[in-house]
Amino acid sequence: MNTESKSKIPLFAIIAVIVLSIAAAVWILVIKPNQGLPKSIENTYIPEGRPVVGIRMVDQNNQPFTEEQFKGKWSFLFFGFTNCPDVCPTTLLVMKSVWAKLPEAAKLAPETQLILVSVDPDRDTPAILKDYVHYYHPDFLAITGEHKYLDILTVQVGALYGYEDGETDNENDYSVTHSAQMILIDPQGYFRGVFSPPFQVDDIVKTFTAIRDYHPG
Amino acid sequence: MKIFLIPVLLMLSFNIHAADLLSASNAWIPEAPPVARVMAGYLELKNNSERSIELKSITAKDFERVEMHETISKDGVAKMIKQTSIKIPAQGRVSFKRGGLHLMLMDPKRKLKRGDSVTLILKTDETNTEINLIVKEATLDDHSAHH
Repeated sequence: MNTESKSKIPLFAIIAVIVLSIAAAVWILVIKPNQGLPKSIENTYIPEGRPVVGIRMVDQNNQPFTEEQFKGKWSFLFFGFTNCPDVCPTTLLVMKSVWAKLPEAAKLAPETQLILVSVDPDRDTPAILKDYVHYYHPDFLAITGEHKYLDILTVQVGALYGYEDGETDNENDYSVTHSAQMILIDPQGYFRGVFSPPFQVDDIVKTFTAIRDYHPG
Repeated sequence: MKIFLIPVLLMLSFNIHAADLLSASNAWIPEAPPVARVMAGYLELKNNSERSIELKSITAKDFERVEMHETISKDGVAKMIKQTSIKIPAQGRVSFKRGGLHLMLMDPKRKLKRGDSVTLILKTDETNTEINLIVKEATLDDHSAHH
């Protein structure tokens, strides 16, 4: 484990998030009032969107995962890691409940995928990721990748992650800091929404259903 | 005869109080995927004494290490902050719960399934208190309604 990859959140990522935050503020304060977005989705939906490109990850079956896998489906992306006892299991339980309600809400489930993005590729192998997400739901996917490819994805959707050393000399003793939002990517592969915690199952179902109704195509 | 009984009764009552210094309720562990190397522990601790207690460390024979962590969510980023000790005020309560202060149970030494019981030893400067946590199905329900 080199210290470079285990450093705190890199400066460029912080700058990227600041820029994105300013852009979001401008959007909320200046542009959005003219958009006439339905109230139910105005805090989640990103009207202009942005294509997510250059994705070179591996999935839970050790198969390549590129932006092509976003096409034709709505994707919820959640950033986390399997050694995470509190935040990640809670989010996966929320999404398990969302999955149980989606078919009732709009029979949307077959065109929707939940993807756990592990930001801890040194410990989370595809095999571990597969067992981990399938425990919560057999349809859930998990992807991970080298740090440079993780960064390509996280920067484009405004997510952050970093590492903090634990107290022991064991090189596996470190904890992972990560964005807790859920990212929505549309079936054209565009970054299309952000769900912010704390997550409520019914809110996610309702908002997502409203986005599906509103979004063209 | 009676006069000899009083100190005995006093000692007995003192012992009961010492053992009861800390009590736990709603103590449970959400079942985790078998590959998970960490599990969470949730419970409510009550300090039954008239002075504040500092919880210094926790051990369990079923886990390599037990730590107390707090989940801090700031600007949409979740971070876990290790707590070296937890103060519980006199007659006060501290909740270890989802999204907040929680126990981090690291490297389970056996496979833990729902229904299993795990004993933790809570260490303060004065006493060790044994408590049991039950492994339950991981649901969004915090199990606090269960008795």
